[in-house]
Amino acid sequence: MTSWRLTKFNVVSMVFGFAFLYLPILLLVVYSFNASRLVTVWGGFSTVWYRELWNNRGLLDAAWVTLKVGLISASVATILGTMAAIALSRYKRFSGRTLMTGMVYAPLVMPEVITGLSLLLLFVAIDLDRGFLTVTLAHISFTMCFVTVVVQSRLMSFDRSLEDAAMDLGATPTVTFFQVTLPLIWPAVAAGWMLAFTLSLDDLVIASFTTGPGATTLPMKIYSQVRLGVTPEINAVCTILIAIVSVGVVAATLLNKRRLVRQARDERLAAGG
Amino acid sequence: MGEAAAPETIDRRRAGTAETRRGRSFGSRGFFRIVVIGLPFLWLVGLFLVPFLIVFKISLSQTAVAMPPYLPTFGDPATWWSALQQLSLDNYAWIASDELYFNAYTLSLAIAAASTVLTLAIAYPLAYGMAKAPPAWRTTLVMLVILPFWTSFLIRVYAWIAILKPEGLFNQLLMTIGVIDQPLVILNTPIAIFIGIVYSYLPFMTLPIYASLERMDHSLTEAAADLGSPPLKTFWTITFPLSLPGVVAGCFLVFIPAAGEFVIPDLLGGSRTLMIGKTVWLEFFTNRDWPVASAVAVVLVALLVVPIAIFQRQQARL
Amino acid sequence: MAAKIASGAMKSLGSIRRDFAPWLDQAAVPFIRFEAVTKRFGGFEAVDDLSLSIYEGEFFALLGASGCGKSTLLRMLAGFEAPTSGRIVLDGEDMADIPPYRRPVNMMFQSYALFPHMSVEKNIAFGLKQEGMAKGDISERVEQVLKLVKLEDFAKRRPDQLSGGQRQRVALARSLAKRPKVLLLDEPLGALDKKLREETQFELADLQYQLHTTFIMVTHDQEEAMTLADRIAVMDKGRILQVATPAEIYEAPNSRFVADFVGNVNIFEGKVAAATGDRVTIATSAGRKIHVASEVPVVAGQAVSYVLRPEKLRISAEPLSGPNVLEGEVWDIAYFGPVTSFHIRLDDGSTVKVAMVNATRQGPLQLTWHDRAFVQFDEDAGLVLTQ
Repeated sequence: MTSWRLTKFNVVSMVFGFAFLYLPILLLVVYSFNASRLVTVWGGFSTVWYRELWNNRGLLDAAWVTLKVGLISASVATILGTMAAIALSRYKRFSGRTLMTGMVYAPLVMPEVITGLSLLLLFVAIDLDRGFLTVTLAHISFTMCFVTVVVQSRLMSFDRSLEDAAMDLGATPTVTFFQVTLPLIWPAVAAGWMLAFTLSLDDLVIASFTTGPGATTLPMKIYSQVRLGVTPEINAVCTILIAIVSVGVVAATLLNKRRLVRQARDERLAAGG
Repeated sequence: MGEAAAPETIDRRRAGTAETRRGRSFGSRGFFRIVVIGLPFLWLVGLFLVPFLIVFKISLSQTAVAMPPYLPTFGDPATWWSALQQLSLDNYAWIASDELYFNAYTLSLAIAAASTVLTLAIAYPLAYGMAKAPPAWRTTLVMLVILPFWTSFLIRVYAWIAILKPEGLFNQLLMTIGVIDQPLVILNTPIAIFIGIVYSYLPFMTLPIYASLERMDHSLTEAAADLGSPPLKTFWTITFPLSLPGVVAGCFLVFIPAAGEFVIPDLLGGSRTLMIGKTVWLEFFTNRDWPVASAVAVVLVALLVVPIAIFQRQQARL
Repeated sequence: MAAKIASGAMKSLGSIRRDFAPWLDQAAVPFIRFEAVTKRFGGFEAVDDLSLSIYEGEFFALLGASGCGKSTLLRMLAGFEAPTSGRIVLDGEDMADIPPYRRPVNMMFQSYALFPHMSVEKNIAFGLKQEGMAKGDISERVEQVLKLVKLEDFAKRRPDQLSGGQRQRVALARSLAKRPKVLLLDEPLGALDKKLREETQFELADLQYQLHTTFIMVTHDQEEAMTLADRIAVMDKGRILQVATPAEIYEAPNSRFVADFVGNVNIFEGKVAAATGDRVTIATSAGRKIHVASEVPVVAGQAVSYVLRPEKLRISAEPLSGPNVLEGEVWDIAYFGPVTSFHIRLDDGSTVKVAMVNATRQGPLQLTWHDRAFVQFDEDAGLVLTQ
């Protein structure tokens, strides 16, 4: 019972850790409602920067491009990444398995400048015009590995006898995957998609290398504005993004909680009858 | 041997076979396997391995005022042999001769190592507290560690500019409470880079450590206490060694990307602190010297190949 | 393999089911044949050059400790593992190139492997849908098997809304729904508690009798194998040591391993001192002479073991008459209810186990720890084994 009693040290280190993580974000949100242009001076509450943002065509266009790239690349990356996860966790022996494992894990830690540079040089070598398509291809490549890792960890804990049972009952591997495996690993696949989508929305370096005219992404836009000096509009953009993410995360948590409650009820039912 | 014996057996077999085979022509044995292995494999070869080989090849080329800005190009197969002979190690010699690159590499590795240690120092107590928290809280605490990760990396780094600059909130705070009279110069120094890296990579260190601590059997520390070991000694002899896999994974997840980091040193470190990620960027975008940029990148990968390999081995074992 | 498989010629220890013994019929064609099957995982031989015939309608048990290769054998028949060498023939058809989803066998998994995202009904219909069966026929068949396992009222429930025993029955129903030629059961009762296991054993036996389907069961529980199976194959280290009816396995084990693995046993090691016809005198290594009957020919000087089940001995506080009277001290007593088990430390230093049936409420024996006791067994109470 005493095993999880928290000491003063534990509490202090957690408070410090979380304060460190959240204070900068909190400040950003607060100052997005600052009437003053100066970040350091509080000039009263105002939504002026949000209105300004609405009129900033450049930022809005970039946001739209980012969203499209994110949706397409996350979806393709999820399909490819899930396939790779299945290949690595279900087929223990095929030629090139070691190579594939390397190609899945290396991009996870590969410095972005190198990934960006290498993809750009590929696109130049095959004479592919840089733009929306190349950014999307690049994002698929670097996010799919993250999907693979997420899905693979779920497949590891997956009861293999369920797949055996499906095949034993006459389902081909394809049918088994779609009717048994996929419905059960669905939360991990969704989490993989979310991760890929977030990474894509967030990426500055790889996009800077692989994009071309007309396909400027939001991080690139933010970066160029930040380098010119702090603009309160950026605070507003950030706040909106943080709000979207928070709503998404809270919704996911609530859904998960509801599932757990239902599961607990089912188990009670099972014990009773 | 005896299959031909009972005729009814054979009849039943035919009926059974026909029944069980209906509608299965599509699932020819290796179809699923070929697609599932083949597609991602080809993609990774085409958009990870081949690009990397191209980087390597271009690092052996010469700069040219052309598009693409390097020579030779392997366009016409007839000229491949002469093109091959033009490849040289000149760019590597250049990198070796100029102190700027050497300094950038050592600075990058040093900053990455130092920030890894700092991150560990903050992440371990945090993860330890989380693992000791009541089970009902733990999901929420993990969520709280992950949540900042979902918000834009760029934005989080940007937030620190407002905090750290001379007239920023940190200096204001310190001056208000009277610790200092003159604003501290933090922004555009390596200290700002440390703060940025620790801040951005904290979840990558915290989560693996938490995972290994949480998995640990609590009865082990109870057993140690029961056998007369005081808490601190129990921590160093039992808890810490068992959490090492998490610590190692976390360190690699921080060190390797931090060594090649571009955004944090660029925004927080100022122009005087030149790390290698920035060098690649400058060579490529500002100097338009693609071959040197490629060579710098190849050397960076060569430096990181050992840690990357260890990281992979460890991941593959999990 | 060296171990000889005990044949029906030995004794009339037949099947529990009267008139069902196709393995004794020279003309009968085996339904399933494993022909010199070997399975290697890396350097480990899970199954080692194993041959086995199983007949149609049989309830067959593979019995052995974990890691003996019994599950691998079952998984090879289901098609999840391919033999490294050798052949598996089912109903005249070589299974080598047939993937699991095309084999006319179905398996009941140890973990049950019920699809958690499907209702009971959908779980059972899953295999039928794969066959492309018409919707009406599917629901009819589902209803039929649910009735068979007495779960009609649970069709709409999901697996996590069922108790362990109910899940076990759903798993059984699902594997039977396709009317497989062979039903494979991997530790079918392993996850149930003792009481439920005993009840379910009889249900399973009934079901097999009704359906006449060939059942092959893997188990490490000798009692389960004895209760359910027509024949048992005792396995160790990837080999089959003996294939026989439960009664033969128990009363006429062909080796010390089998005798020791199935039930309790006393083993007297020794050398043949004299042999005339089937009368044998054995000089035990503890320095005693015992007089027994042997079913196998032995010669003087040969190393043999004499295996003797504890319930085949008599025990008394008074001196006993008859051959083979041993004397010693009561070393341990365990009261089990139906039987009481004694460990007697003989004067030569060895220990024998004796089981006494408690036929009356007050045992006639008032033996307690450290009392002198007499133990006696007849010449044909045990078995002379040469391996």
